[in-house]
Order: sequence, then C-alpha cells, then structure tokens
Amino acid sequence: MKYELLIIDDDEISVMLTEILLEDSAFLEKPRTFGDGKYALEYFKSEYAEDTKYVVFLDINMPLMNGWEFLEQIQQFGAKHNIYVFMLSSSTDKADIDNSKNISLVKGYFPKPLKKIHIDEIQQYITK
Amino acid sequence: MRKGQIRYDILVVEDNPGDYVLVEDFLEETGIIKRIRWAKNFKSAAGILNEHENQIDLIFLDLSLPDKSGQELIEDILALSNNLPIIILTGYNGADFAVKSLSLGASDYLLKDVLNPTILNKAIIYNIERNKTLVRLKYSEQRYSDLFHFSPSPMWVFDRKTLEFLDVNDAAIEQYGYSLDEFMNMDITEIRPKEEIPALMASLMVNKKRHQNIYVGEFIHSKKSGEKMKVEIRSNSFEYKGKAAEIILVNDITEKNQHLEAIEKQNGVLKEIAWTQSHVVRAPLARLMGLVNLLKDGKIDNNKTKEFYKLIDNSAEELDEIIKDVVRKSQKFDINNDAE
Repeated sequence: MKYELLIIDDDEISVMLTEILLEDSAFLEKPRTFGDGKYALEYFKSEYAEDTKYVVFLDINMPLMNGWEFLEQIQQFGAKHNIYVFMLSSSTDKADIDNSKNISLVKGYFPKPLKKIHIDEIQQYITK
Repeated sequence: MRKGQIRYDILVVEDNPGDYVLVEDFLEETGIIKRIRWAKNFKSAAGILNEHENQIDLIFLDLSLPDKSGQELIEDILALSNNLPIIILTGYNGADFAVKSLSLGASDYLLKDVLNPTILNKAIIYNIERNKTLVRLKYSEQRYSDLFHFSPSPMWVFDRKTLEFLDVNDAAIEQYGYSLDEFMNMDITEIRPKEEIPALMASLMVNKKRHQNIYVGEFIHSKKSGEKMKVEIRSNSFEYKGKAAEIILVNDITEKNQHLEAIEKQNGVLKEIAWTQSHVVRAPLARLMGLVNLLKDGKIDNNKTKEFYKLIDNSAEELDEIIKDVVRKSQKFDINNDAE
C-alpha cells in the first residue's frame, strides 16, 4: 500500500515545525504541503488514487477554504475509506473538537503544536 | 328565659315617647335584652352609633324623625351602623315604604300596631343571626373581589359573545392606561394592534373547543399610549353574572424577552471571544510552543538556532500585538453596558 502525507495549513512556521517533527520520527514519505484547503482539494480532484492511503494534517482557519469546508467537499467527492484526516489547529475551542467528532473522515484532533505523542498515535492508527 | 341565653344591646330610634315606652316594655319582656338605648332623633342616634357602634347588636328604627326621615334616614343610619341589622318600626300607613326599605338595606320591618314580646324575641334573634351569615358572605365576596381587583398582575373578565370587558382590575388599568370607564366601553379587540386580531380569534376558537380549560398563549397588546407589549395570557372560562365569560391573567413578558435577547447576544459575544482566543490568539502561541519544544529537545542544528530565536521573537511580537488589539476592542465594547 502506498502512503501519501499531506499538510494543509496556511501558517508556514507551523508547517515547518510539523515537517521537522515528522522527519525526526522517520514518518512515511516527505509530506506535500498546501497553503489552503482549496489547493488541497484541487490536488485530490486531479491526483486521487484508490490504492493510496492519504494521511492528512488539516488546519481549520485558512483564508480561501477552511478545514470544515474542505472536509465537506472531500466527502462529496466520494473518497472515504483511504483518507485519514487529523485536525491540527491552534484551536482548543470545544465547538471545534465536537464538530470534528461528527465527521467520519476525521480520525483525531490535535491542538497545535504537534507533539511526538501525536505522531505515535497516527502511526498506531494507520498500521492497525 | 333559658339559662345562659345570650342577651343583646339594642338601640331604639323613636321620637314618639308613647311608642318608645311600648317597645321598651315588650323588649324587656322578651328576656333577651342586656341593654336598651334610646335615641329621640337622628342626631342623637348618630352620636350613640359613633360612640357605641361596636357594642350594639341591633337597631329599631322609626322612619319619621324630626330631623330626618325616609330613604335618607335609612341610608345615613346604614352608613353609620357598619353592617348592624336594622328593623324598621312603622305604622299601617308606612307599611308600603317599609317594604321598600328592605331593598335599601334594612333587615326587616315590624308594624307597631301588632307588636308583642314573642314577635320581638323572634325578630331580634332571627335578624341578628341571619345578619351574621350575610356579613360573612359579604366579607367572603369582598375577599374574592379583592383577590381580583388587587392582584398585582393585570386581570379582566370579558363576555365571550360580545367580547366586551365585564370587569377589569387595578393592575390592568395601571398597565394599559385606560380608566375603568373606558375599559367598560371597550371590547378586547381594542387593546390589540390590528394585525393581532386573527391570532386572537383563533385563540378564542381553540378555547371554545376545549371548553372550561386553561389556555395559555403569547400575544402582542397595545396600551392606550400606543406602546406595544408582549404578553403571556392565561385564561379560563366561567360564568359571570349569567354570561359566558372568560377570565384573563396577563403577564407582561416584554422585559423578560428583552432580557433573553440580551443574554443571547452576550452568549454570541462570548462565543466569538472563545473563537478568537482559540484561532487568533493561540496561533502564535502554538507556534512559540512548537519552536521552543524543538530547541529544548535538541532537534535543531547549531547553525540554525539563530534563525529559530528570530522566529520565536516574531511570534512573541505577533502575540503581543493580538493581545493589545483584544484589550483595545474589549474596552470599546463593554458587554454589560450593551445588555442594559
């Protein structure tokens, strides 16, 4: 099974921090990064493959298409079984956390900054 | 005379000494008299009543006194006697008026020509006892009437057929601004804005079907001043003076609703604050924490640390700016003041 790692976040420093942590954990491939949900959606529309497992770090607050809108679009897009979304947001607002629990594509919610234990959790989830 | 018999204190108002002596003799023979007081005219009767009204049990009243007579006399004695039973003493020629005096408030009448101790005995006991019951009933009615009239919530009764007001309490007069007379010439559609009439008619229909049931609903009413208010209505059907009527209890919820709106608005503001804290304030803070974690764990090459300190510094600056901005905005917009 082929893995693909995506970071969707408009905060460049946050993206860099996530990349450093992932590299340090020798986690999967080098990630693809998207500065907005809109660009990530376009990528999915053109490059989506049934036989690839997508592990997605998704920020919520982004200028063009936020995390929730992106999830809505992806669900309509029909691809579900091979997309694992982990919310990675600075928000600790209960409304955001509750919201994520109602979306089946979302497998976890991590308040920034990303930590080693979060990555361990993801690894456990996708190798299960 | 039985032992332990209650004895009564009697006022006889009679200007004719011959008639008085006759009455006095018979009264004494009844065996139920504690004391007889004699007033020869209205002035004297008024003096005795003013001073001893609470000791006296019953009044015998002759209808033609030198200083007052007829209807005026009865009315004035009634006003002074505070619910005491009054028995009119009259001759044959005054019998017709004596009957009329009953409707004015006298308890009974006796013809002087046929008086005897037995008749007096019975008349005294009967009128005093019956009067006690009547006074109790009167107080009871008064209590119920007071409950309605002095209720702190506006209340009224209206005719189900004509929709006219039949009675209105003080709180309704106070709250709606119409006088009692004005209310009594109005029907219940007149305290509502035109657009509310269909809702009113619908509620009346509902009520008719359910019959004798408490109905609750929210409506808009208008005061005499034209000011509108949101009210919660409770009503119940009953019969009032022979008419199918509805009694209404009004609860002005204008203020309550305004309060709720203010609270909802505050909630909105609080949610917005929570969102801002989480998404805007926490963003540079999370970045700071992330940067510090990497440095602390030694994951950064020495040649790159300078760059990291710069990033930490930038994030701290950004956080500082955001906090200053939040403080500035919150000073401009005080939730508590806004809710007033």
